[in-house]
Amino acid sequence: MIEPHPWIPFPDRAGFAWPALPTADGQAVLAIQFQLDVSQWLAPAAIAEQQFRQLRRLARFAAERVPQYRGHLGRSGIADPDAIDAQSFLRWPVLTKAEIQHDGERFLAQGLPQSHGDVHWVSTSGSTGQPLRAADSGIGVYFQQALWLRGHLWYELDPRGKFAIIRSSSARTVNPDWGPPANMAFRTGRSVTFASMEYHRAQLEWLREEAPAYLLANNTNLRALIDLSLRHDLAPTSIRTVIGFADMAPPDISSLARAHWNARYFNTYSCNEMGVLALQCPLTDHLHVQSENVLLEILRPDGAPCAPGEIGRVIVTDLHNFAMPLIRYELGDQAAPGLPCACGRGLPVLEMVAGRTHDLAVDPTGRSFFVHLGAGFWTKIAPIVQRQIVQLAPDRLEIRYVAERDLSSDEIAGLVREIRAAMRYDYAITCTRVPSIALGPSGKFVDFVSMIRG
Amino acid sequence: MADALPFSTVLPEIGWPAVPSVAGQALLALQFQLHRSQWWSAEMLAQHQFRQLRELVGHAVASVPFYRGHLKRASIFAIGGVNPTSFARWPILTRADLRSAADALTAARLPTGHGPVTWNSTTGSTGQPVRVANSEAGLLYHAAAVLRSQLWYGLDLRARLGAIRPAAEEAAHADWGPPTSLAFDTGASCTYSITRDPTEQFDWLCREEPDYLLSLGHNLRSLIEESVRTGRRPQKLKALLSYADKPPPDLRRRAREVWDVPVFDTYSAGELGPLALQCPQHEHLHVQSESVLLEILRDDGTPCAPGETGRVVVTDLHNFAMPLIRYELGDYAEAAAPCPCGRGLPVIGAIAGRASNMAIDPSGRRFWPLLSPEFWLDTPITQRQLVQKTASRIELRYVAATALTPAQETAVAAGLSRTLRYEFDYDFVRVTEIPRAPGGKYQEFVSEIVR
Repeated sequence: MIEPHPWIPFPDRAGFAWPALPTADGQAVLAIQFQLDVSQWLAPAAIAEQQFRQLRRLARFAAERVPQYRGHLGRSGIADPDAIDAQSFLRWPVLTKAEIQHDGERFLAQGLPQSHGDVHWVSTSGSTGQPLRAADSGIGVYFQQALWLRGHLWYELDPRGKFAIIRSSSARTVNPDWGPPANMAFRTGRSVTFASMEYHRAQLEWLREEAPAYLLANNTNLRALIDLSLRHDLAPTSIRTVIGFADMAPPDISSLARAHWNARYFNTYSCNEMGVLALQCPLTDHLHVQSENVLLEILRPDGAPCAPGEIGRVIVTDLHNFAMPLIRYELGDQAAPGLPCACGRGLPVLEMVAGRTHDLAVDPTGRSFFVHLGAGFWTKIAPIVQRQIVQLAPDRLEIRYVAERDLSSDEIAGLVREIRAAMRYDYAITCTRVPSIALGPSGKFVDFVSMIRG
Repeated sequence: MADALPFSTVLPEIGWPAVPSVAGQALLALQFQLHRSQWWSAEMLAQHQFRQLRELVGHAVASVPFYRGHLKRASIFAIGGVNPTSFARWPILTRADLRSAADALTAARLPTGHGPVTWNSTTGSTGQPVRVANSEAGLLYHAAAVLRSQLWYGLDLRARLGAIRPAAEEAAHADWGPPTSLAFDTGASCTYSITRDPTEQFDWLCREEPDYLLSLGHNLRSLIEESVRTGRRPQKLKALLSYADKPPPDLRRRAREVWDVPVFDTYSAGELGPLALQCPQHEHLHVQSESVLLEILRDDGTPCAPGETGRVVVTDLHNFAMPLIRYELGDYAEAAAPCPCGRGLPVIGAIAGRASNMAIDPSGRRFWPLLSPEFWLDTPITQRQLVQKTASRIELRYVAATALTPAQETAVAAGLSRTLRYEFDYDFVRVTEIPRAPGGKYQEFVSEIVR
């Protein structure tokens, strides 16, 4: 049997090769990982107890320092943050994306302690196509990163391997290591990135050229890559493990990755605002909620918690974002709680039912590609609340948007220009303002819809 | 694991997971590694140990006068040639070397980042003190093993810890002290001196009511007997933590019978920190291979097979201030087969004893005398010590209300001869007290003829 890579950190003190004393940054990374090592095995009740302790710290801070939450305790009939528990927290109002879109400033903390680090901003449209901006503190981002590293450890990746990432925000880059936090404690192999909007054929050729050991990609895009590699006999044979993120995982993706790429597949559930929400169990197909960073609830229409197997709305609280506390934030996804996992971890089990999804785009020459235009793409052009791209024919698109007013002709012209540039073809484009955007089949919001049936 | 560990945080708003202090992060960064390496195979552990050993040896031959020429003496021609086979030729470092060549054993310079050097005096059972230097960073590895033991045994770190130690005075503390309190919000602790007599110690124990009691094995044993004698018992004890050398063979049984608590044993030496920790699932000990390379050797210098007892020779892998390479502690231990718990850390079946506590008879038979406390119950003797003066003569120093009668002396001598399986000549010497060895250890048998 080949033993998994031991993940020995690189030493900062001459002479101490093993066990190593890493740099101060590396020690901080490992100190968090050790806590995660231990906490995953706690009983569910012990995990919940720790979560609620942390939640009470957050709620107290939010009630005192965040305008949006002033009065929330009173409205929830909670006398004091210390009185927050699983029961009383159900009365805390659910936060919608529309509220943040409408007045995001009200969610910013006044007087974030310096010790929480610099404030970072992310743009997202997430599962519902509603673009918004969210802030997080340095500490908050730090915990999010720690959970990606936990994933690497769970999946027994070899840090010396090359890591390829295909995502919407990336250009083609070559980097000396895997980036933080892994590179703060470990000597890693290189990482390379590529844009998910590139033609699938180009992505596949890039993968074969780079020959990475690991690939992180959007699930929809990943599935298209596997399909294409099968049709053209172009499997990237170097890949040992693929990690899917963002879109809902197609049900057959794991078996396809195994059968055609000889690669292990692990799914993740994440959002831009909070990072990783759940990671696939290393031993089973379940997703494990990352309870050390997020309190994830699944609610019935009446607001009561769902029982195992029962489908409900996903509501999340980031336990460490004190810069812009998102408490009981409705993501627009649907999921069901699972029964405790056979692996023994106490982290709750989650079954995704409906999350973000995309159809694939094509151009008139038949080239296929994945379209995800980030939140910033839309909001920089026009005050769009929600949107969807619909491909009506190989050369024709419709942009459906929700906004408080019709877009001006200049805005529409700008939108058409930008979309043609991003999608690399002069599509005929119509823009239609709609009161709301209908959900796709099985209740999913579809970011990019194709009406071309092949 | 039932309850969450109380990691301490420096950010009041972020408690779980915690943001530890700089010192806490260093300790937890090591725990991250120990948490994984304990499950490595024996081969992988040895591979990384030797990688670390080569770092140490490279430093020692370059910066420590005592080791200049050692590579050549061991017929090793380059640092890269240090491996399990060649290392067996590396000369053994004795306690006498350590006393006579302390200066030559001290590094002329330390690699950067190892921090300030402190000196630690230790006596061992021979009563002859040795002084050992170590760096702040080197001592972190000893601390990491201490912390590991507390995590292995699932101690409730919020509970109250009592410690009866040689250097301690009676005191109460808000926490457990380093290393535990550097990374965790611990409960309170209290300390007492092992040099006080067992009656006083037991009164203190019943007064303080700690949840855990840390002390030398023999001392814990005498406190249990004090409990039996007085009919009182501490009410809150959850476990006994014995450390240093070999605990009395019946300590576990008596702890279970009288106080209904388990014993978790640590084999340690003052100058080297914890060398082996009791397995969380078994009574035998796991060598702390991440910080020490521990060999158990036959008289001819070859390694003992499982089941064989031999001399303990250790190398502290991270002490660059005063490298102790193949240092013979004077202890004997039994090598054992791999543990069914799945940890790859080598197993010590039991600590057999110290050379200085070993008896020898005129035929050359060497053994550790095992005298059960019950042996003395029929005599007026309350405390005693056997000192072997020559191959056939043993002095019995004893404390008793009255001197033994000739008939009692004859009976004791006959009993001892049966137990020791040789008819030694006995000199009976009545004393007012049996002084402890300078390290606080009480020794029932001391040899003045075995090295």
